[in-house]
Amino acid sequence: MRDETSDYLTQSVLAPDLGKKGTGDMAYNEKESHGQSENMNDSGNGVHETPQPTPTAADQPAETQPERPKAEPSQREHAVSPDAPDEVKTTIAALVEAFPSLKPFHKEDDWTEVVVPAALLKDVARFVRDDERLKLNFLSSLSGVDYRDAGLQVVYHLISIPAGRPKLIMKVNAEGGRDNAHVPSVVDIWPTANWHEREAWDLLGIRFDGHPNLKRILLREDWIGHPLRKDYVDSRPPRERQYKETWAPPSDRGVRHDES
Amino acid sequence: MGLIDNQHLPGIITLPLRRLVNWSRKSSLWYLLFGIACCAIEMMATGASRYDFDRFGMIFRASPRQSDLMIVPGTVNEKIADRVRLLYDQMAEPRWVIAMGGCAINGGPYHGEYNIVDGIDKVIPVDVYVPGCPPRPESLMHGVLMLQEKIAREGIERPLVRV
Amino acid sequence: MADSEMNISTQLEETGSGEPRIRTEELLINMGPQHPSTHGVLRVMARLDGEKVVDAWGDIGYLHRCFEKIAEKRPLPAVIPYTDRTDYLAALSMELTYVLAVEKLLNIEVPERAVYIRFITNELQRIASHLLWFGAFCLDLGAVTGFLYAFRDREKILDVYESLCGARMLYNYFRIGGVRNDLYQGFRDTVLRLMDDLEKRLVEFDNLITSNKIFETRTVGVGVLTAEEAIAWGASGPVLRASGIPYDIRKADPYLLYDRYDFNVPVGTNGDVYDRYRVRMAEIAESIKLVRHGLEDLPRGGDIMADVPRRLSPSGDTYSRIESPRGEVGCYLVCDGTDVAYRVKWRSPCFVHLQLLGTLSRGSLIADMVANIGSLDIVMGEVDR
Repeated sequence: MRDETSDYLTQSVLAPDLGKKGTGDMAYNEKESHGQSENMNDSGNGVHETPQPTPTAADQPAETQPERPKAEPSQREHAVSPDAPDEVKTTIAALVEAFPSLKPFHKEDDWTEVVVPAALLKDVARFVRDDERLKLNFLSSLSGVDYRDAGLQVVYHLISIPAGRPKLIMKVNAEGGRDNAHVPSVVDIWPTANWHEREAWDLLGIRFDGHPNLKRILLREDWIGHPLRKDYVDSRPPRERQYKETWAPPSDRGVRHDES
Repeated sequence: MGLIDNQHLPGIITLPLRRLVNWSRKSSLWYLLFGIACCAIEMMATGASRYDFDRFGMIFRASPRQSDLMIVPGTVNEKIADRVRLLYDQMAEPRWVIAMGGCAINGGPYHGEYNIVDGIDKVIPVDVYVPGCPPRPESLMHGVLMLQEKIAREGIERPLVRV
Repeated sequence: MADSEMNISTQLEETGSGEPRIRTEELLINMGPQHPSTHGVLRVMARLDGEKVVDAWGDIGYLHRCFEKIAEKRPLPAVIPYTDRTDYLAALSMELTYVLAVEKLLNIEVPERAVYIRFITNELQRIASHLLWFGAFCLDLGAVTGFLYAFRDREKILDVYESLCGARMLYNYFRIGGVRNDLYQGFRDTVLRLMDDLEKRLVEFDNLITSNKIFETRTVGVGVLTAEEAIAWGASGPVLRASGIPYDIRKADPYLLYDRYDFNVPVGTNGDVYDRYRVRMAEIAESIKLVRHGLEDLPRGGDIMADVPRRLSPSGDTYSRIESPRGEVGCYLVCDGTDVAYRVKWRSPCFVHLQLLGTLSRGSLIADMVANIGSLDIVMGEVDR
């Protein structure tokens, strides 16, 4: 069980029951095991398996949980299925060559996915932007996700323009627990990350180290809490309805009583 | 309107001053150009070629100090609520407010969410509510006509009421 | 900034009037959130030196409506109406992004006819959105005629939508696995006639605005964005293409039917406000072509909904991107096997484009800032979500 769940975290795919209540213990184990990310894939559970539910799983009645697709033991860590697009093969080869500790895999269509430790993020980001084979110069999206007890995660979707490929998904698990989640900022690599990171800080409370101006962006400066967290509770005081006192009674008709 | 000594004098009509004032007020409602969300596009469409607000004597003004009517077209959240109040306070009396669309009425589809003020009447007093998401230009015009009726009645036989 | 200060002071000294030197200092001005040319509730702060903009930055969040939180609470199909309200000028593009993401997770094959309907309505949406942009942009620059003309023609497209799905702006028309209802009788003829009409109108707009001296003075060479800056700042859509980069998701990553039909990707050369205008107007012409193609090949009859299970429970995560009228819209969808999404992140082009404001405005006149904001085609609902 422990292997399976930790495997999930490496792939950064939600375990099917992570969204349910009462899985705190298991999720906590995931978080613990996350620290030893190196041996996560040693179980041989295919990191390459695209974790999509089979259509039959979706067709099943609601009571049964959709099963996690079983991994093929034959698939090795950096092996790419031969029918993967060329860009994916190139991307995986380039990444593994530069960073042997990374385990990129073919995600879907022509997306490559890789989980990057927070400490390596800046190096990997600079490499994928500057490398001649990759040239991932366009940060399409930067999303923060709150995986409850499993911690917070930042997902980077990268594209090379103008060709439109290769495409890379980088997933970075924030360090420092829920209350003090940290991820290095990539503003100096892709300037467009500036507001994305501010938004992730504002709504999810992920701190980006090295960000030039990490302030709230969507909510008021004095807002309490981070609303997109799963455990967020709205603590605003209720507002009263405003009334307008219109015209004076017939006794002094015509005199205007201005309400404050 | 009436006649003096049962005689019709050319060029002269008699009527209560209040009614004359109300008539002129309701016939030249200059509204504040203040687009918040989706409804603002419908408000623009109402002001544009096909629906043409001008025939109600309604011309948009960019400054709250020149406007009589504030149409609040869209969702009001915590960040803009103070600004809406400020704009309302800047408008000169007499002033009226139309809450346009579900969001301005009570939060609409966003009712009860974390950043949403559930209805503009939590911030400023409202005269007419125009439902819809977004209301069609016809709805907005209907709302304006209702406001005109309301203005026409103001100060004549109305006691102090809270609306 | 320092140069201009020097100039002012030296000029004063040269006049030798003996008056004390005028001290110049920077002025911080606030524009919005209520301002006629901020296209909604954008607040812009600008630091000025005389009339020159030293720096400008946007303050957003005045229309933050918790879309992403709502998407985590409502069942998957119930989120579609909320996607409409993110970009209310191109509601169908937003629906498409979301619907494509869910369909990708569930491996749903959409019937051919539904794909065609999506394709046609989406391109119509692009025309309507660009027309509205044209009108609002003309209004920003003081050309009220353009505004009235554009709205007149946009209303005709809205009429088609109204007959099709009962709403003028927020349609709630796409479904996971297809579309809600079939085309109405006479759709093809109405739209074909409309396209013929629009083609003539485009010439009219062109005559009205394109070579207008005032318009050119206010747009040519204003708000120049180089290709490198555009990519680094994540610009997409017409803003990126006006800077000379032929990147269009419809070509690079075709969805719907874009790989079947040939169309041009209009590209600018200078990356200024004028080029952004030209690119958008050229895109309308391309969209008219695409709508015609789609109507030509529209299958007669057939399903409009795939066989979708009553209860959707996908799991996994995916990212879908489309080319909306404003640029690259992305939806990062994480599902955990329940019928409610675990996380929906919306990548909105306007949010990204607003960061460009400083780059575009620095060194230009304060009056040009309105043209700069207008040329980015900002929809605040999409910026703040």
